[in-house]
Amino acid sequence: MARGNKSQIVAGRKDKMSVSRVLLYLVIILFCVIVIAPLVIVFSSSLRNPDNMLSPLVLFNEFTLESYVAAWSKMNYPMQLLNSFITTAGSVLVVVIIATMAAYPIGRIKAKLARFLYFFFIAGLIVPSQMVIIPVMQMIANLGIPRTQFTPMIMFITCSLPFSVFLYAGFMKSVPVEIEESAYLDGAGLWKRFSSIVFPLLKPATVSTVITQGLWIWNDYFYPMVFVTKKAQYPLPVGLIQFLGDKENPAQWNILFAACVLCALPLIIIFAVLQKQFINGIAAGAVKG
Amino acid sequence: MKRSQEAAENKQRVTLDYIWTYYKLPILAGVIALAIVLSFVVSALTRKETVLHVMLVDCSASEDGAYMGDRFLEHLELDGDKYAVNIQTNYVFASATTGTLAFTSQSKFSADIGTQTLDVCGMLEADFLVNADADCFLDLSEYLTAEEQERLDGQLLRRNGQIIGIYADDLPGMAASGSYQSQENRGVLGVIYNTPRLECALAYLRYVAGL
Repeated sequence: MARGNKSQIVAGRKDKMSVSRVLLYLVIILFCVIVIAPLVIVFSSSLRNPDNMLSPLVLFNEFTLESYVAAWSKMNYPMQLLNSFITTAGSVLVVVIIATMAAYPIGRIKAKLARFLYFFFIAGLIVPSQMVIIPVMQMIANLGIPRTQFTPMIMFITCSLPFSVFLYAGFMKSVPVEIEESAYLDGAGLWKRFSSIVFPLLKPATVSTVITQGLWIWNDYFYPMVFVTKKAQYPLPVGLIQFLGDKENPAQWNILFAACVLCALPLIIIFAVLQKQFINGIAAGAVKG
Repeated sequence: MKRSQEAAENKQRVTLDYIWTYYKLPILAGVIALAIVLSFVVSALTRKETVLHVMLVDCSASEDGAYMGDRFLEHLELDGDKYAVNIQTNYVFASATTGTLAFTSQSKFSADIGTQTLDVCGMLEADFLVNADADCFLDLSEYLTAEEQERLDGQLLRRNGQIIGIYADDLPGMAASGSYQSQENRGVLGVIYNTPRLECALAYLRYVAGL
């Protein structure tokens, strides 16, 4: 009798578990649908003729690349892609170099100066950079720096450094000092110890920095829009704005969606190619942390 | 012979593998740095002198600002390879759906005035009057002749005895580019009070007004 009761209890628990599991799956599926649906609608609309005014919820009723051709030519896609690439890659490269070099003494020196420098960099996180754009522009004008596609890089590097130094300084503590000491005993100088021993061990933090800072720099349009005056020097996000339209000239949504897909495509390709390195780097960072 | 060729190929492959394994990141960084330097050099060599900087906000232009600038440059009979007119039309103050874009546009407007780089600005009348209260625009009555003021009589925006702007909807230069053609919200053009290129700014106003 007791055993029969026990089997009934176990069967009851399994029923409850399968019900909760089904509910969980339903919630996850609903969440996935909510996230993926807009992307599908954008992609479906981008494959339509620019004059197709059907509701975007009617998916994949047409397959044509005319919207892509129109977006490509209207925004001069190759030039703007090159501008975006140069701005993003250059800024991320400088941020990684400067942030690692700044975090190295902060992580190693045990004096109060190191703490002061650490908080000096962290303080940069408090002030929103958009609030100081006018005095910064006056400073740039007074210094005689011309306003080209390289000028926003100054702001990108400046605004990325606080978070990057914070990330690297925290990660630096997990790099064993003993390795550096043994290298020092073997005759390695400061630069050799930093470049050959410390910097390679900071790879997970470097991957996190490249992903986080590279993404926001690629997608940012505030600084390029404020600093850059010539259309030939616009990056991709600023080039997208011309498709927005207004009351007088309504937006051509199909071309706008095609332009959005074109702008997202480079990042998707980079992630697809380097997915393994990204995930390994983030996972290694998580384990080490 | 074959063995020596194979050995040479293997050695090359090993060398390339070694370089790729240990030096791919410095090579990538070098390529990026080279691309930036080349881009900077090309940008410096092809830089043109800006003779006018115009910002048209909420203008709904159907024409690209670059074409509008080229036409004005031809009107001034200046060499397009040496000089440039920047006419930017993708700014928005009055938008309920793109608040970030409106904030960016206003930051750009304020920053350009602060750095004395903006010459002429056009915006919708409501925004124009708000900025005119902050003395952003020049009194054009000191620069337009009596004959010009008479020809533009119905299109001048006057305030406190000053001519602070010109209504843009009936100006032939604005109609050609489809800018400020709405009758519900009229656009106004004005010269910024601290423009570094006053003569050219006034020439632009005369050009779009058909004077």
